[in-house]
Amino acid sequence: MENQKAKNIQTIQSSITMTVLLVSFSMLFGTLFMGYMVYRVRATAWPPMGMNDLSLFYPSVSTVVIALSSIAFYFFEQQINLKKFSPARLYLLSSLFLGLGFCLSQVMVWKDLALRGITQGSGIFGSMIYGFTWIHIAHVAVGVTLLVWLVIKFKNVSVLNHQDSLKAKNVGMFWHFLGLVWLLMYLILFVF
Amino acid sequence: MAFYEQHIHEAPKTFLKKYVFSFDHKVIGKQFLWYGIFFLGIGGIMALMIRWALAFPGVAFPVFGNFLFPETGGVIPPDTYSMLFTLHGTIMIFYAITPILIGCFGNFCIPLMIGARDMAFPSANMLSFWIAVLSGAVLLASLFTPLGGAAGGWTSYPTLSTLIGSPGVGQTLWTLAIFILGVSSTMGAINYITTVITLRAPGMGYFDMPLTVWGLWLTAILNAIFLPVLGAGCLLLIFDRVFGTHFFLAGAAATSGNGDPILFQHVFWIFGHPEVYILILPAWGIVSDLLSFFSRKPAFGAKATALSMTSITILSTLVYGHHMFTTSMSPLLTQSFMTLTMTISIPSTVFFFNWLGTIWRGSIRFDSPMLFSLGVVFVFGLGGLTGLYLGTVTTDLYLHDTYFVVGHFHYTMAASVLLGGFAGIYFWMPKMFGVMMNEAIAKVHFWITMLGLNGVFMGMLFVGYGGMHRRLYNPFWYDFLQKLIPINTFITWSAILMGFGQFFFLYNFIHALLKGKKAEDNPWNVGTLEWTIPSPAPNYNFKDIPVVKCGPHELGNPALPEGRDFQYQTEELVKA
Ligand SMILES: [Cu+2]
Repeated sequence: MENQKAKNIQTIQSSITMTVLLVSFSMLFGTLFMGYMVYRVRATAWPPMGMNDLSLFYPSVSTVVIALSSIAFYFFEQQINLKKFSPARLYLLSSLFLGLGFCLSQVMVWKDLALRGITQGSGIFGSMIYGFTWIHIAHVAVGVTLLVWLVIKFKNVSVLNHQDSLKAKNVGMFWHFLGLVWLLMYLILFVF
Repeated sequence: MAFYEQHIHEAPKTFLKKYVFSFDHKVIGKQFLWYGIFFLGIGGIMALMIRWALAFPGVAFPVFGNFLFPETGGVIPPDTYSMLFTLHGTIMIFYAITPILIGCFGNFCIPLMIGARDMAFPSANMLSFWIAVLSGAVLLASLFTPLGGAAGGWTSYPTLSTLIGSPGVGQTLWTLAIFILGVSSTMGAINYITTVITLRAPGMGYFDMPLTVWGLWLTAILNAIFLPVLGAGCLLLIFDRVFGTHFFLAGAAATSGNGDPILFQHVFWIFGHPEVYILILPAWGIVSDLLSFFSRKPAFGAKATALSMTSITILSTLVYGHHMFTTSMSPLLTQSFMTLTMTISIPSTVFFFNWLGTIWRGSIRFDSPMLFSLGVVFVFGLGGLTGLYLGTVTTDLYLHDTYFVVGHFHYTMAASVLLGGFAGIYFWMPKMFGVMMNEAIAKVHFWITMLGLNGVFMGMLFVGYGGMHRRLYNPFWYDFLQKLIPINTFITWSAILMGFGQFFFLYNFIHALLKGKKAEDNPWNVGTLEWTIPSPAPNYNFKDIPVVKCGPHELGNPALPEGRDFQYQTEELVKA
């Protein structure tokens, strides 16, 4: 009884905290997107001169990889709720490796841009591509660290305790959020 | 809401765990207090140096001028002057007011006043303080870089804050320090929000919370939403400075393509206007409570006060454009921002009226917390009224960037918050440290401060109205401003008086800590939860979590038994 109360309050506290945290992060990225809108509305030509030959290949790879990573994480959560820990671990590990794959693909994005002569100093569009992806990748690095932390936490779990399931849920929310932010960046910076 | 009792952990034994890396919200609150007082001193000295340069241009700064500026023979050089007003603003806002009002009172009061044993996340709380220390260290380090600290104004507008305006590392470190502090404050804010929602004592509804907690809670909400906006701006500015991006560079400053310096102003003020309320809301809350406590009357329209504070919080997110009337916005936009700004007067008037309603026909006790609270009522009234001229496009076009603006925001943010902070310190001193401060010295402190600050800020309104620009090193190069020299000298003497008055506080504070009179559990005879426990508040606050049965301002109820004029929140409301 007393235990149940404690669990309830932990669930509420963690969901309030996570909601506020994600609102904060949304404001951070939202500010960047607002900046994008201002620059875009003011620009005389879009994409600006010299930016026409962006390749969609690596950014698209990034999108697919981070989406798969999110999906893998979703299955991980499903499996731990079903108390099937060995497939859960497998999903978690694949989510982690896909996350690392995303980081790699981002490096390829930057290399590819550099090959085409686009740097952070190439006008406002170059600044945005680099600046936004830097801020995003810094958050992804935190996300990957959290995934590693979860991998360690769930290494030999055989019964699920309440705290751990909350931790998995919160890391998941953060990870899906970062995927969503990337999707938006992919759409505005590379596709349109 | 499921009620939940936090565990009582054993009191920490070692010095390090007890005073340095403490999880206890009371200790963290006091740490923030020391931190804030330290920076308040630095920011205050900077203010005096600015004032000295304005009143006595070309005269060496007394006492340590020769030590600081040997190459000019003790005279404050122009570039240092820019650095001084930049860092005075930054330090006072982010490193003095924020830690004292939000860090100290937020941490100390929220759990005690809602009947909790600690914050929801004590370790995040501790981390928040140490990140703030890191930020302070980065800021102080920026002073010792080759070209000195940041000098682009506390608003750090590009192009002043880009490599063209400020080539030194100082500005980069400044931006980084603000970003780090943002992380710290956001962590604190998330903690406050969660604590207030989940850890209120059983029986305590939102309207049973003292208004202090309301103010702090709303502040936390604004912080969590708007600090990241400033954070994003700071990151882009750092990228511009360090990695050569072009976010805020335009025209000849950009080697290719166009950034937008005005965009930074938008980002800054989307955060900046709510920031004003972030700073003032805790002071409003404290004053709303204290006025009731020391008038021995229930707070007039407490619910309406809480709701007006909430609507001001919401409105404050929609008005930032009034800082940018002179950036050639479209008239449609300026007029919309003006109208929205004016709507803030409605809730402000409601709660200002409630303040007056609270003191009206009360049996007022003029103890030092009450004096300071009444001071807030006065200076905030003046600050709010002068704001109307700045929120109106037509008058703002003339007054923009003059000392009138400086006078206005010092009345609202500096004077109100400073007096509110002192009211809080005098009021909670017994619960924080278990000692009373000397009343007589406190009253001297109040009157000197009140005289000094009105001399300073009223004078600023006058010289600003006379056309004196806010950031000139020596405004008296302009003939038409030379007539303002006497007023400027008067302002400076008032500032020196005010600075001198603070020694009374320091003496009183230190003396109380060392050998002050031991405080009773409830020296002010008020009924909120923190006064139901011993002074100073014990480890884990409440042995048994209190059950709340009435509101925080049940004073002067005629149905109360003989000899009592207040009741505790844990007591059933006495009915006639
Ligand atoms: Cu404003």
